[in-house]
Amino acid sequence: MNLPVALLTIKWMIRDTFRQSLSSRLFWVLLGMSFICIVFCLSVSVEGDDKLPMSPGDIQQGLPANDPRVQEVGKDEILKEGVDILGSKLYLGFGLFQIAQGRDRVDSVRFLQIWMSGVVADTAGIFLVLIWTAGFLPTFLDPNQITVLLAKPVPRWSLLVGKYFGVVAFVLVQVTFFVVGTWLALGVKTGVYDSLYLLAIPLLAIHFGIFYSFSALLAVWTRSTVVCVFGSLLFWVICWGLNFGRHAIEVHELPGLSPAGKTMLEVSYWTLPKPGDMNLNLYYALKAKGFAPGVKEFEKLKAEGKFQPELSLLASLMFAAVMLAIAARELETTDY
Amino acid sequence: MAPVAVFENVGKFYATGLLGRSGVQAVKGVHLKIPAGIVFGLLGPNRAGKTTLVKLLLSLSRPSEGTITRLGKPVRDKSTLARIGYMHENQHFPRYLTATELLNFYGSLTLVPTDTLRPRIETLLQQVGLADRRHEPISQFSKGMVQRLGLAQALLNQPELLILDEPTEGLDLLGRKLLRDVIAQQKARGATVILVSHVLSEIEQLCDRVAVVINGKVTRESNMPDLLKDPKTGQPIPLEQVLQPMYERAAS
Repeated sequence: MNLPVALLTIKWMIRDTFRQSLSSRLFWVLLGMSFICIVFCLSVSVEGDDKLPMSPGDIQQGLPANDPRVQEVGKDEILKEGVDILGSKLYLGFGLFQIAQGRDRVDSVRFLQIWMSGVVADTAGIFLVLIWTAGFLPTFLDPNQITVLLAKPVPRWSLLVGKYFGVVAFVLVQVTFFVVGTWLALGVKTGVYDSLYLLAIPLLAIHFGIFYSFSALLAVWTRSTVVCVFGSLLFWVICWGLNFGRHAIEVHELPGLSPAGKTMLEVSYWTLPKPGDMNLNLYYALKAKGFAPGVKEFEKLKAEGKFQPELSLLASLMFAAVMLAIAARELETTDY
Repeated sequence: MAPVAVFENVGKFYATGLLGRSGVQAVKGVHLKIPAGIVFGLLGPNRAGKTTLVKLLLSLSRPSEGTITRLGKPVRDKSTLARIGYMHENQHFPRYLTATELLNFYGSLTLVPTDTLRPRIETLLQQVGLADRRHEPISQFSKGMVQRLGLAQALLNQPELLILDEPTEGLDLLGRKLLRDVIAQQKARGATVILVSHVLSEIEQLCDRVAVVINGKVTRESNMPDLLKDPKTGQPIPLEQVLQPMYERAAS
């Protein structure tokens, strides 16, 4: 294997894929969607306490606005008794909507950031990007497109790996634009610049890269965009189900499950990518507990010390590497 | 001079179906030596196996049986591809690239050094008549312009062996003249050209030697003057008259 030639090819393929994405509508559609989110963040403002008392040593000045007692007794009654209602007011849509928060200013912004990264980007975003990028590889692998490149003195696998990393790089740029854009917009409007949010950039790109490796294998096998779209989405859903099912069974200790069934589930869990765990990794990396409703089973598993985030991520990355290796091997032996 | 390509008892079976038991025998028992420094024509009716032979020579497909040597080395050694130029019959280049970008990209993957590549791209774009369109995306090119660009990319590495698979497809009168000039130039500088074409006039005019492929087998291989001689009378006859009975026999 001639490594410098392979690296040169990968560099050119990444460059070409990026050039391809720049010329496609997809680039602008994704940029436009990120832009809408940035404008949404620019429409946000927070009014109220900068910092709520957090530890027992802090002087208690009142009740948090979302404390159940505030709901029970009513705000006016509490204020009449001389007790302050603590928290902030979150304004959305340039003041059109107002939400009372039992959080201070910093936490109100983090609440929005966690929803942006966890729900908008990590679920809806990955779902859409998987669909929209599914056509890149089948188009490239079309015999009329790739034949001349295959007749070049470069390893075939490097063409595929370069294209794969090109698509991942494109998604990384989009994710960076989205996260940094919303982070800056929220920072400009609220004065809160929480750098923890930036951790979402690598985590989201890795999540996409893991599932795109499966799409790459489907592309080499079938050269069909339709198969790549539906195959990778179905696979994503199956992986979600297995991931959640395994944790649920681990926590609830299902009585009817045979040891063989449990072993199969364990093997599937550790072999396949784990989108639920990746979501959970993002959740913990952003210290999101208390900001978004967690999945009960996942929470319990974590509490019992049975969730191993590093190992889970490593296993998912291993899956991606194996998928890419199989796809590259398949391309090496395919007759054109 | 050593031949540029040697096929020894080469067969190719394309398996189809789930178990791969059925399929198509594209070529079978091919023995062929392509001498260096000549224009070699591959002739034959549709689906005769000409393109399969080209694909096997370029390592695009692997032979099911037999051995192939390319520029003195087995075809599995991909390094020899750096000395080959290839023009595909129905090339779809990335439509978002400009002519210059494409030649830069493909030239780099042909391992042409950057400092050599830049001036060569300029020269080739001039030669194929695309110099004034160099910054336009390929999506705005006509079929003939794409073919010209395909020819330019095949010449980027000043190949020792130039393989042209149905190169006249989509080319106008001037484009065909350009192609003839390029083939003549390549031969003059000592390169070998393999020409796969259905345009008999061009084969007749340009090729020094031809192989006729029918039903996956090389049924005749000959120097052009010998081929164009009536075996009974010794008088010259047109190529069409030579090939027609062969094609008809194959069809029946």
